[in-house]
Amino acid sequence: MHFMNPVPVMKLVEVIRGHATSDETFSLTAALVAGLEKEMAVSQDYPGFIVNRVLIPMINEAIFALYEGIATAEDIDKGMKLGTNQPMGPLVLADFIGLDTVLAIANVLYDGFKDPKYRPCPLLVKMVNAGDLGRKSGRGFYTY
Amino acid sequence: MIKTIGVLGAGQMGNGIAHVFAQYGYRVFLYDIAEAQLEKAVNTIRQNLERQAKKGAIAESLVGETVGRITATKNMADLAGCDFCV
Repeated sequence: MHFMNPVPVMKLVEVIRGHATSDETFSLTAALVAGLEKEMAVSQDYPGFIVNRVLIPMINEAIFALYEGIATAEDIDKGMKLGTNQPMGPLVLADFIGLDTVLAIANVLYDGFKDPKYRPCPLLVKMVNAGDLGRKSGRGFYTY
Repeated sequence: MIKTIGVLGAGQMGNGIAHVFAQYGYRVFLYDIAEAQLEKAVNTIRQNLERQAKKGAIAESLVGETVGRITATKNMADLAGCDFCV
């Protein structure tokens, strides 16, 4: 079971079918998700499952756009928020998740697939090394 | 029938997972290696439940009931009897 943060608020639980997961364990887990009044999305056991596999490269690409000077953080977020109907833009979301957590997940994808398309943006690495971790440290792509 | 849940790790995710299982009536054993982390987790759960009750999302009585279903432990053996572990 892979819950989303914050757990009491988020409706989704990813249910992962491991290499050796039996049908019995799977059905039992599915029933638990329903019992918590949450929704399930089923994923095979590969790095990032579904949500982080799609979300983290999107956030990482937003950071690359900032790093390459494509646009300001505000305009990247405004573009994605108003242009794709996301409740918040990718950079503000990254600040909310914590940049150390974003980097850790990006490295799970990069190390797990050994595919350079998942390489974490150097700007993300630099910010984490400098202690700018987003909302929890008071500064990330924005100041809090 | 699953009745008891073991949750390994009382950090950001663990406290939320323990919270929802306990809220839906499961008996929860929340494990961590650090006493301070366990205390912090149970306090966070209580605060979050109180906020839910204040907003009218859950009954006031459910706050104490839910917290009462959670046992914080540093002893992994306490999870031996659990029906399911997360």
